[in-house]
Amino acid sequence: MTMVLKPRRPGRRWWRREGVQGYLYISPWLLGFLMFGVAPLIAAFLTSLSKANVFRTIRFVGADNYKKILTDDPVFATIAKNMLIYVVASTVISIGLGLALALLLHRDFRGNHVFRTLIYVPSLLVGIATAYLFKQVFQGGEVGLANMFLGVFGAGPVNWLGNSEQPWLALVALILVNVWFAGGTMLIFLAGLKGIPPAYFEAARVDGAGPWQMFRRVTLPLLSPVIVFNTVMALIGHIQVFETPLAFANNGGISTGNPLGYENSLGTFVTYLYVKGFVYQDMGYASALAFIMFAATLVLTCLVLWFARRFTAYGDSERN
Amino acid sequence: MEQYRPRKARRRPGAVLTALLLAASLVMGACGSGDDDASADGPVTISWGWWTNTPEKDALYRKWLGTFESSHPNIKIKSEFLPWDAYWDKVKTTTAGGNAYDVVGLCSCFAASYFDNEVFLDLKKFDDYGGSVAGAQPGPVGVFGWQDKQYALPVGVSVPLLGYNKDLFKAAGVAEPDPAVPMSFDAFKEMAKKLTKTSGSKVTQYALHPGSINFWESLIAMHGGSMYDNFVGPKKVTINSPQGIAGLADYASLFTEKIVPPIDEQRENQWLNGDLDSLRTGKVAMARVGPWNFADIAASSPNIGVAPLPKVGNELLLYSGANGYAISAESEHPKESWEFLKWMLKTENQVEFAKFSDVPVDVDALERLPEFITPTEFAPTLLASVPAFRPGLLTVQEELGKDVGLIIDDLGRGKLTPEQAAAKIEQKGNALLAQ
Repeated sequence: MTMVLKPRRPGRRWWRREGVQGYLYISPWLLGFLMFGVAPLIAAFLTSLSKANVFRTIRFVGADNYKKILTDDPVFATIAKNMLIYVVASTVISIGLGLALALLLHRDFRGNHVFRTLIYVPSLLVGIATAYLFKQVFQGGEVGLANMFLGVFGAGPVNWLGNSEQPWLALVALILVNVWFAGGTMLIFLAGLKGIPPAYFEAARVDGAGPWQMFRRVTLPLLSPVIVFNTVMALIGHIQVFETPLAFANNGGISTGNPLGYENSLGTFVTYLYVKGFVYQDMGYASALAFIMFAATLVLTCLVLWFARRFTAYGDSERN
Repeated sequence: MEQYRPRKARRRPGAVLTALLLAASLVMGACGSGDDDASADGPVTISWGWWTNTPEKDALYRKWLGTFESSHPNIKIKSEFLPWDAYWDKVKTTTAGGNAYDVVGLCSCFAASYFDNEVFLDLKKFDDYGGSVAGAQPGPVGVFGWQDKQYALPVGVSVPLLGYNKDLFKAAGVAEPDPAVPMSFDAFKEMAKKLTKTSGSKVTQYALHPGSINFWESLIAMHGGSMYDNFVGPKKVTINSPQGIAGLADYASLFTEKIVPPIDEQRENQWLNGDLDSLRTGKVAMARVGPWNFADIAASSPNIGVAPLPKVGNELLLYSGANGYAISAESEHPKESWEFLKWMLKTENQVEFAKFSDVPVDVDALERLPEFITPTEFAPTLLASVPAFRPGLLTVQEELGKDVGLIIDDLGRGKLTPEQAAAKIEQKGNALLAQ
């Protein structure tokens, strides 16, 4: 006997459709994303158009917060300058030092795995721990490690973090902290170097290329996608710097000193956002700062990607 | 011909149900409340928050709370002590999220924003409010009033005293100051100069760590001026007057005469942050202490003495804060929380509180202060200083206090003259208050 299946009416048992099932399977994540990602984003944007404190929205002010930040906020102007210096210098350190270390440790010598581990592990340390560690390193007087190092050469001691005569020294200290994190970019560069077939180097060597030419003509072009990736990631990471400048700027708490450093010399986008939102309770202004920070990140990332297109080789379809 | 139906869809009704349940559990988990209250018959648990001082003081605080629980068997207190900054972060975020402690510990220094946003209950709405505060000093109670409402009640007043290291005084051959009579500012400076020690060009010991005294406010007031038209909800900054400038000049002289560490050194490990910690380094002769330190001093620092802060003219004035409790507007146990507030204002409980913390706000407890304060020799200093108490700044413009502090720092650094500092404070302060 042949079983006859009745065709189901369209619209019935909709949840049995494959597409719907797919959405149901991902719905926990989707709901989480909507509730904890999209909804706060919309709420933050609406807050940025309001005068609001941490407890309530007081009134709608349109684009006033954005206007004030961009045209009438000397603190933000100082911070934008700090960020430009910090992001450029820190990205150069992250990429330059990371690449140099990777090239060094890519060579075959005894114990290079130990060095890779020793250089990489520090970058795993959480931000606030590193911040307090380096607060000790850049301690004023003769007790800080940085000043002890300078003392070997007969220089210093330097008041790195609390110097009201040369407040820019604090920003220099903040930039130098990035040496600690070079292991992270080094590891990605190492993976990129491992992916370059040795045949290219052998061919270059047969053609009479020296070490510099091999680096310039073989390594750099083939590593260029990794360089771009590391640059974009470093850039975004540096724009979001928070714990270290906050720890450097005051005595361990928001209630002591200026959390943005002397004359705002240690102010960054996120510390300013934090101070405005959670110390001074101006949530509307802080939300507007967050969107301006997002726009700055987007513009800088697009600039890097646009610039990198001319120099990046992606396999056979390079310069597409 | 058999109609095609996807096998996976046909055979997995359980999986679909699982996906639905997962989604529902996520939503319910996110929206559910973590209420860990006791059952309707058992005792009610109220959450209670305060900032931590020292382990010893926290233990005494818990003991005091235990007394409340003993006298109110139907109310349990779930207490939490957090470091100062973490405590205020938590209070702010939980209050905004509607999940604050039932009983919120408050310092008057940060109270204005909470009051202005009406996130606490107006205590005047409790029927027995009037009788409950009848024995309290009106001044400290007024600190927690805001626009005809009473959002908190004080538990104690933070009266600052001059703590000094007896060993360093003895080593310098300087007589200890009178415990009950404030010395004049000029006499104080003469004494202090003998307590700053140098080795070559390097200062090895400072006479005073100003820490968190905010002494410029007192100096200005003792010269006859005032920082603001009103310290509670100011509308105008009034520092730029001859009296205000004279007060700032006195304050700046502490730096120029090397009585206090330079501003940029004040936050270094060498001198610590002021207060009792600095006195204990053995490198700072004087710093602010208060009754909240007495238990610690009695237990482990017998070489610390106290005296009133110096005065200018005839009257000693001290701007400081009061500490107290509010009840969260979102509290599910307002009546039980109110029971705690009433209990803490009773004379006996005020006495017990004052033994390890601030000066009592209850008038009877204050009168009995010499009987119970330890170390007993500190009582005259405290009694001489209590009348000088004036409430510190209470404003919704939290940037104001911070900005004033930064300008005062530049005065201490010598980057601004007293005249410039007064003008800058007035200009910046009034711009903020006008917002």
